[in-house]
Amino acid sequence: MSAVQKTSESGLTPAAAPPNDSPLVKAAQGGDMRAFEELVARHRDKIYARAFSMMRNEQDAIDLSQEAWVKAWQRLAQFQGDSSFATWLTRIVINLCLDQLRKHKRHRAESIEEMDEESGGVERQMPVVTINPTAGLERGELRQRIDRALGQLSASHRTVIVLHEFEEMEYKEIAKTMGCSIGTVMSRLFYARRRMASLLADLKKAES
Amino acid sequence: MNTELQLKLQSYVDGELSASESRQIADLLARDAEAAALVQQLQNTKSAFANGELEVKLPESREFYWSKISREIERENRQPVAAAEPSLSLWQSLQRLLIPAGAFAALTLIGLVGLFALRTTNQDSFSVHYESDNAVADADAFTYNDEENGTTFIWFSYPSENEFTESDDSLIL
Amino acid sequence: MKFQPKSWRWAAAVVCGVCLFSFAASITRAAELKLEAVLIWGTNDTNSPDPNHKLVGPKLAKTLGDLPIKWKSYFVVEKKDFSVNQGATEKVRLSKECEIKVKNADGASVELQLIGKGKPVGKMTKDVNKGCLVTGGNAENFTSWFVVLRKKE
Repeated sequence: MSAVQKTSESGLTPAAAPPNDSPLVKAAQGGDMRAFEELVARHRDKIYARAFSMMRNEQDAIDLSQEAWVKAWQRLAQFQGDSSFATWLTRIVINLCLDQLRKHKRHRAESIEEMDEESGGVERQMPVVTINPTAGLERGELRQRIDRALGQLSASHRTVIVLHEFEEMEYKEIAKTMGCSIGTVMSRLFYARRRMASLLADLKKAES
Repeated sequence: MNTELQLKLQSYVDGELSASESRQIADLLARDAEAAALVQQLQNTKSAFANGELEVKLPESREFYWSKISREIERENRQPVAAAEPSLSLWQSLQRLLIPAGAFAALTLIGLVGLFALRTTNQDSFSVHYESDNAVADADAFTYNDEENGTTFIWFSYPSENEFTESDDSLIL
Repeated sequence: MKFQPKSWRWAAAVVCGVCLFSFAASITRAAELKLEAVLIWGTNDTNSPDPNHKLVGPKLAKTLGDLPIKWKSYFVVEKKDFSVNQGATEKVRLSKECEIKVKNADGASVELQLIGKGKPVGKMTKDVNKGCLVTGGNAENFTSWFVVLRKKE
């Protein structure tokens, strides 16, 4: 008997408790494609969103998220339940996005922007502003602004922010995922945050 | 303010410092306005992210999105079958495999005998050439091979950078 | 069973293979290996607090710069040239805490044993004719150490 359970089209409402993926995962590990399809339905938005946050391109995000699902199917036997299924899958899509970004980087000539990523570039000279540019903003508006600012960061600055702030990875884990030193992670994160602060301040100025 | 202090202040905001280092930074913040201002800015940015991400929805229907995934899975599943030639009989298939495999085995055996014969003057045991074969104490160590330049790089992650205390020395330097 | 012309081709291939294999084996019997071991400090600072430290040469800087873990400056802490006979092992001290043991396995491959603070850190094998072996790890204040082992030109 298939372990497929009935869920809504969109998966879950935010207020609901997270679904228990274990029965579906177990069934999928036994070769049940319908169970796997249900897992896709549950987590497709989250996986796509993570790919989009890293790639900032709709088609790339769709392709990479689908590739992640195919890889997940092939590696289902390796999933031991040490983390949640969604976390495991998110790591797969993150690695695929990083591979893709590295490929893009290889095709790109070394630019000033690239050299500035670790040394700080203009952010190095920026004055420290203690006024909070996001104070008093409604949650939705704040998220909009953060998203706009993230879109203006370089790929490696954006990646380090996504991994640290949204995936809640520690410096060491980010270094391992991105294949760079902890020092590099720290400096990238530092300058990415300073650039974010500056971009958010600009957005506030533009509004007023 | 130098880069090292800036990064240390960031580690403080992210809770990546040891208890003693955090205390030192807290003392510094009480007397250094510039450092305090930077910490404030970093905290503001961090708390902005704490509100979460913009919700992004997949711009494709469930069926269409799944159809591409299932097609790919089926294609991958079919691949090993497609590689075999269905018109060959079992004996023919076996012959195709066994002839080169047998020749290769004979070649290897004769080669090994030849090598031992050549090495009779040298008492060294037979050694296989590894491009790089590593046995390291650190389970988190990673190896990187730069095939273009032939460089093999092994990085030992232990102890991690944040595990150093003032009294600690590096394992090597 | 008839002896087909195809079988002759296989026999010829085997003979050629044996010759090639034996020739390659005899080449690898080179005796002594001349090597260079360098202990390096990687940092994002442009100057080293130790006036004796000198920046690495352009070739080594390129090798290190191509690695996934990058620093702005690489300073030579110690450099030792030495040679190892085939089958022999040489001990080389690079700092108070760091010692390496290098075994010339077969005239081409070396076995490097890295020892930090008297404890074994790792053992690696590398064909030094094909390129250099670089090991690295974390040092104090978010910097790194590297040990480079390469064939002396």
